[in-house]
Amino acid sequence: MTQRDELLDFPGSEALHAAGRVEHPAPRAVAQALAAVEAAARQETAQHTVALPVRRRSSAHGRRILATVLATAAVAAGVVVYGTTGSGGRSGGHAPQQAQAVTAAAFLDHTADVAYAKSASSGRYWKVRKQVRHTGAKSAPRTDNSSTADYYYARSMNAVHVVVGGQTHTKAGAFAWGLGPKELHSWSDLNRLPVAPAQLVSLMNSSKEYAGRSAFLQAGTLLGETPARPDLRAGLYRALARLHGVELVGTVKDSAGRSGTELVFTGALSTDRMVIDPRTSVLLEITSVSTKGRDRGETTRVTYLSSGPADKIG
Amino acid sequence: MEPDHEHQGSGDSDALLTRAVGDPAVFTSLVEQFSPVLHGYFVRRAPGAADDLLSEAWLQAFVARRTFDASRGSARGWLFGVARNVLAGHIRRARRVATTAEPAEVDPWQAVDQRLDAAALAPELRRALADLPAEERELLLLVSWEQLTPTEAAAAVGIPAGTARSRLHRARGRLRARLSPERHLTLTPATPARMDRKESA
Repeated sequence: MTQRDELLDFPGSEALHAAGRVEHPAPRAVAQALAAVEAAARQETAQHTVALPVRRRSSAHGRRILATVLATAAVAAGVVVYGTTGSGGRSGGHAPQQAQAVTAAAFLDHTADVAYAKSASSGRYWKVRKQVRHTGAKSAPRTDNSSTADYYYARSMNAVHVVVGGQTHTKAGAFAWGLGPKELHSWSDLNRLPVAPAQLVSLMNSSKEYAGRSAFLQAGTLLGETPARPDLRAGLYRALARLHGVELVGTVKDSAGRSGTELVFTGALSTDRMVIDPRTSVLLEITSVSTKGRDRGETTRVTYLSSGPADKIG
Repeated sequence: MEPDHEHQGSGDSDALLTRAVGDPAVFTSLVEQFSPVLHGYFVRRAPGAADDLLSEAWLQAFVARRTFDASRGSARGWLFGVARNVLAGHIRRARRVATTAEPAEVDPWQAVDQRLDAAALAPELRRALADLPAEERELLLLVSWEQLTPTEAAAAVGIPAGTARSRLHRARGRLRARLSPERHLTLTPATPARMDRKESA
């Protein structure tokens, strides 16, 4: 008698075992899983076996740094190194030829692991302190506006309360976040989103430029603005890892002076960037620059100074 | 008592999972090999969502495959650990949608009990299982239904093998105490079938 047999030696054990019998899965279910894994494997293989040039930001002295990604060996060895760049001259621009041993996908998958390990939070409101800077298109007289405010999103999303300079302004109406064709009119809608990266990618790709916003920007907005739970945040990061065209820039400082890892995505209508704190998985800043049409040059940058649950406004 | 026997081919699957770290294409062999058992795990605990959870589990396993260490346990136990996390996430999500409150535990007992009811399991056994501590019941079902060895079940749940064996021993003891024939004859009304057996004995 094995340990297993002995541990199951109680009256009714056989009946219990019989009650657990199930049919084999439908071939469609296995095929679906297989397709998802094969797609992820193809993407990873493509990213890890091709030497990709990574364009980094100019340093404070105007030098452009070109690094080569040879991720295969590094990833196989389990090495995770995030590149540094001397943006603003405030952080390590002293390693101009430093090998960058991680791809955007590997970085995002790692960030997803960090996000997944976080605990979920709960409150009456989701409070986001953000600085929004908007620079007008090049074709028009350029405007440059910046404001900092606290935004309070209620669970029902039937109102948004904005606190600026100690004064609360309430905007009533039906507000929604968006992901592809889905409109998320409440926190519950947000919680109903799938968390499987393949499903999220499918959603995002079903409307690549939803309301003029790239899939990259859509996912970024959910990560920055919403009370997405840890598994959804992890799913969004993994979905971003599977988007074509996302590149790792390296370590930069955001406009609030915080260090993070920058990713860039060149979409059909805009070039979008994210700065993520890899230690916490928090999205620090997201920037979108219009690259087409009369809006060309129009820039919106949102810096997320803090976010979290709140039980009261103010 | 003999120690657990490894499942047939478990060494092969351990090697496959290890190889899949450097060669993602190898991972698909594992999907074909283990999908029936992982799907069964989900069907028993979340019957309406099993297909989606299977895909989610495989994607999570693919992304996390570098964390598998064959020296610490089998691929089978590791994969069930991934499946368990996916199931827990599913239960949390379902409960959040229903209550908008943070659920304290992620025990799939409700779905399991419905399965036992549908299978016409003896009510006394159902009640005895319901009264087991959730952590003991989970291990018991992993061993009975998923055919895991106690060591694999421990890996799936993320506890030391010795702890799993102790809990399984306690669970067996509780079930024996509740379900032994002597106890039925003295403490609970006997069913007609049991009366027949008693009389014929």
